[in-house]
Amino acid sequence: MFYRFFNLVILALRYLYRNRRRYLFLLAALSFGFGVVTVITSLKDGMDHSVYRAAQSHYAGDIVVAGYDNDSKTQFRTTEAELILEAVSAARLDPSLIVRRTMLGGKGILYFNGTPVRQKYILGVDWENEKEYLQGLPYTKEGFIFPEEPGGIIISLTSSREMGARLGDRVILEVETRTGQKNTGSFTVMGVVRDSGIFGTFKSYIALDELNRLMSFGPGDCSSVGIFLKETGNLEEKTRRLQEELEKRVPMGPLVSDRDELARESKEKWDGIRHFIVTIPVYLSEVAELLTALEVIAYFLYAMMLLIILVSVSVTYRLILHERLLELGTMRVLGFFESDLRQVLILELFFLCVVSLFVGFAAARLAAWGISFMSFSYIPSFEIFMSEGRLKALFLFRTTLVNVAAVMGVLLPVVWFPAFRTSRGSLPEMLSGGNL
Amino acid sequence: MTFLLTKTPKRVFFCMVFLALLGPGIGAAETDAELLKQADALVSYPGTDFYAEYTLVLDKPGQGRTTTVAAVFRRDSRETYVIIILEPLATKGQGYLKQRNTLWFYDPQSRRFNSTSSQDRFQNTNARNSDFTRSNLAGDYKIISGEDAVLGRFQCRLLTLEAVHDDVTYPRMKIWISDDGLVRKSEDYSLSGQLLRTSAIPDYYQIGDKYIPKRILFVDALRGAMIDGKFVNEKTQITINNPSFEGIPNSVFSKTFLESVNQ
Repeated sequence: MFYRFFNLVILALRYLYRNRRRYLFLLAALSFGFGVVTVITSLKDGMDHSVYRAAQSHYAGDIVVAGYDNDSKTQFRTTEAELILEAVSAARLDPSLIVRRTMLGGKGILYFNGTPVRQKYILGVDWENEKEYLQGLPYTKEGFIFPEEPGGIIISLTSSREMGARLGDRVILEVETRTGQKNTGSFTVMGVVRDSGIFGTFKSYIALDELNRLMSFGPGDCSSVGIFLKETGNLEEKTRRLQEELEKRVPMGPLVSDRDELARESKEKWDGIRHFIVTIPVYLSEVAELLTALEVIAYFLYAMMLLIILVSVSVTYRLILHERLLELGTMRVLGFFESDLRQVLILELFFLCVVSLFVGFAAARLAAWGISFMSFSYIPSFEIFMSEGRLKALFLFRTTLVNVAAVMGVLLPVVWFPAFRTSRGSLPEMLSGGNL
Repeated sequence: MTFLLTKTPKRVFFCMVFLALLGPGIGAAETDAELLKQADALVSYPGTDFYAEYTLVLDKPGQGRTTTVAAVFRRDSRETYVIIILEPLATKGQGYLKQRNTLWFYDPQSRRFNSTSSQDRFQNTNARNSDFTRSNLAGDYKIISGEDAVLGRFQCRLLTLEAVHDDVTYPRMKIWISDDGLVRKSEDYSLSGQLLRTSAIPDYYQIGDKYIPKRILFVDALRGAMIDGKFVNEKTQITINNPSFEGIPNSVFSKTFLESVNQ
């Protein structure tokens, strides 16, 4: 049985090779179709990933506990970081990293040689705790000097270009204190980051303690405590557990499911500081519609491509079978069973499909690499999907497997029925090269 | 006092020396505080309304000048003001309405009011929105030190001030008040002591017992550009024309007025 099947496989490969010119168009059509499908899905996955990663690194964590200070004009402040850390520990979240950050949004201005550049975000980070993250930022070729002493600042390439400031230059940072007064500090540029994404274009990093001092925060205060999880699955359950633990320790707002709800709740009046748990999906709910639109477009193109594969394979394969009717009839005369003939035909196409998938996948990788050099700045707000200013594709194993299954699923009925009919055709008709 | 005279003559001597040393200091502090109150009072108009046309010329080194003309309506008794932009064409019709602690900005293109901060820059110039409200230096700041100083042709008292609450834009200030009680110059500092802005008011109109600045020059200490290797500061000169203390209808100090101006 195995020997028979092995012979059929060998025979199918030989026939495929001998009929390579006939199958060339089919190979091209299948490769192109699978390539396009792969490009579509990998770009979509890449965009999703870029948005999530950008948000995760910006907000510092998969789950963030942010303090909303009703008395403060800068809004984000908590004086209960230690109690929050206690709650995180009690909630058994198994974090890989916990970070405390102070954030000043839109109220910071950098000056160099008289040129001001307003910063969308000034982040106060713990240099030592976030050393790995800071070293991993995409710096310009001048590199990054790890600040051993206070007084260092990491700025974006856009800010650097607008001000004309380079590594080692002294810049003045003007901020507003938590009560709205002007305060300033002088900092040395320690790194310039090539980040043109939604969060990174006008973002600077200074030491947590220094931003706290500039904003008149207490030494142990911060804006948020971010929790990076080892395993991001079951996020809702983990969030609920943390909420329960936090409620025992600090004043909490309700759990929110999207950004609108967060905005509504945070506009309520209360005394002092109230805390909210915000997950990355909540932060990203603002771009959820955009992501959904993107998915709809991607799946529409995906379906269209599968349809094109279906039609082109169907037509081409029937044509090939028609051309080979005499040869197939002769095989039957020589003693081939209908089922063997059918299996040879299906195996031929199976191997063709395997080759097409490899060629298509390679072409998709090449195309995605080429696309990463294209500029999409003419599309408004498109930078949110980009990473380091490029549109990056992500080739996930699961998605590739689904794509292979989808192409095979379309191919099987298209191949099976003509192969079945051909193998069962009447011999005189086949030998006379008649219709299928 | 009898105790001092009869029992310990030495103590009397030391007390007299102490009072002699302290006396002028107390007197000066009182005088400085009064001077500050007087400086506020001379440019505040609680009993009347105030109207004037302000021409703001922003000079950005290397980028040329831009002119903004605004009509300013002030009612100090209610701590309110309305400003309407008359020029340039691109921002014509934009308006500001201050109602107590809230400052509204009206954009005729979107036809929407947004709350803005009195600490923000006015029309991207070096003036702040808070520069258009009545002066309350004596209420907002405490005097840290005072000394005599000469400022050009003016004999002045130089006062160093520190904010007593957090609602002011600049936590520290130095002001020069001339003999006639008018503020001639001020320097605004950040909390850390960085000079942020210098203001100069060389001339005033005098209408009755009230004073109105004729020209105000703001020099931004941080903004500017390097021209021929030398740092040139960004400046804004405000020229105030056609001041008037005639009554202004109540309807002017309303959102409806700002909307109707653009219709």
